[in-house]
Amino acid sequence: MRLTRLLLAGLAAVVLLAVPAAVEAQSECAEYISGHSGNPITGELIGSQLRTETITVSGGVSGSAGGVGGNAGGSRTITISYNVGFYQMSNGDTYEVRCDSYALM
Amino acid sequence: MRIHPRMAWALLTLVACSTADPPRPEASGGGGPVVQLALASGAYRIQPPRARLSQLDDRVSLGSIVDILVLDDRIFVADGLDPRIVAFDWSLNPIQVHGREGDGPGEFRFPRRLAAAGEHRLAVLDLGTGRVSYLDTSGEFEDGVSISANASDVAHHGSIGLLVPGDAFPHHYLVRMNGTESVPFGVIPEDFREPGGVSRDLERVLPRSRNLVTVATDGRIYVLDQRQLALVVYEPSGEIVETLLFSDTLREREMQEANQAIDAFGGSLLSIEIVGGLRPLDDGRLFVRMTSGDTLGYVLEPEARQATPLITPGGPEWTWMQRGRIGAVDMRQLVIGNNSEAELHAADIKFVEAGPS
Repeated sequence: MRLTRLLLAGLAAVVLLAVPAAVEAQSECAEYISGHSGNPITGELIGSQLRTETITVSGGVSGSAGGVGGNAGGSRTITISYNVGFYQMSNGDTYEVRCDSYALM
Repeated sequence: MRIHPRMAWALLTLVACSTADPPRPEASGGGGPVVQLALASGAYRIQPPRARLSQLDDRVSLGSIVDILVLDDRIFVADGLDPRIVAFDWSLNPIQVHGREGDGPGEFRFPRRLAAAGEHRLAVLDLGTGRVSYLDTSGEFEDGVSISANASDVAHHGSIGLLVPGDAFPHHYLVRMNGTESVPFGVIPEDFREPGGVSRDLERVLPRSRNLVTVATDGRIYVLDQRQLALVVYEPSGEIVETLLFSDTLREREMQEANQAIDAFGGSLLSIEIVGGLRPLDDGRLFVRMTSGDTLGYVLEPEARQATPLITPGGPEWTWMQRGRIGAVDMRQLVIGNNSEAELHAADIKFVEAGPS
């Protein structure tokens, strides 16, 4: 049963790698993660948490000319949500991984 | 007397750690004495498990084993993928299932940590709902209190209330919550406030908000600083008693592994918990869950400033224990979870003396 889930996770990772632009901000956490060949550590998902952050970004039009710069339009706040996965790793540590930016290496 | 090769390896590791340690520092900057923990000459060895609960058991099937707490002779398991708390006896017969997925009273999203909270009561830190729920040991939901979603552990002190590690206060490890009051507690020793030799990358993945906390049977409060791999000991008044450090050899090895993890996972890696759990034992000692080879953790005797390793049974079939969650109240028996298979195992523990080399 676990082997089947592992194969499905691997297949899902291959699909994700094929279309990297399709990663959503709230994408689900992979059931398994692994490091690269130089660090072949693996981990299993034990739970996840949806996090919401509000960030302030400068907006409007900015530019400079003749050594004088400016920014018209002030700033705005953006709320972003993403899933964080908690993984039990093979070395006994627990890793917290942002799921929308993790890609199998 | 013949000595088993695995035992010889463990003993060599202990000796290497002991001899490689630098001299003990005399005192820290305003944080009480700093003491390096000495490694004991023997070890606690887990015996081959005597009871097992399979993931395919008809009575209950666990999604994942996030935390295990032994309380009132029952074993409480926090399930992170099928959010609930399941109680077992020592033969791993399921007794009761507490809660289900949801946001209502007695419901959970991601029950991350369990802690004893007075007589016949446990506290559940739920990172999904951002609150601590109290249950009595028969499973009745009693109360809930909202906490910072950044919390990483929870402990309950009979006199001073709920203690939660976090980064709400820049010079303190903990938030103390008593009713609606929320105040800083556990001042960070001055030497630990700055990252010092810790690189900026390590500082990022070892944030202060991932620290652990527990209350020993004598009422003293222990904070495990993940970045320093040190235990800071407090009186209930908040005064620092002392700081206990693991060996430099062990700390350097763990930091090296953390650096390798940053290299492997890059910016997706938000934090690392090197120490997976910190629990009081009934006899006043503490258990620290930290894997290093066959060693699954250490039994700490604060008075003796000594750490005794807990090691796996001999044989390659037990390597899964290196990643298992552990629940114990003494060093006679324990329950350990196998997250690869979502299985529970109960096993006895025996103390083994260090044999002649």
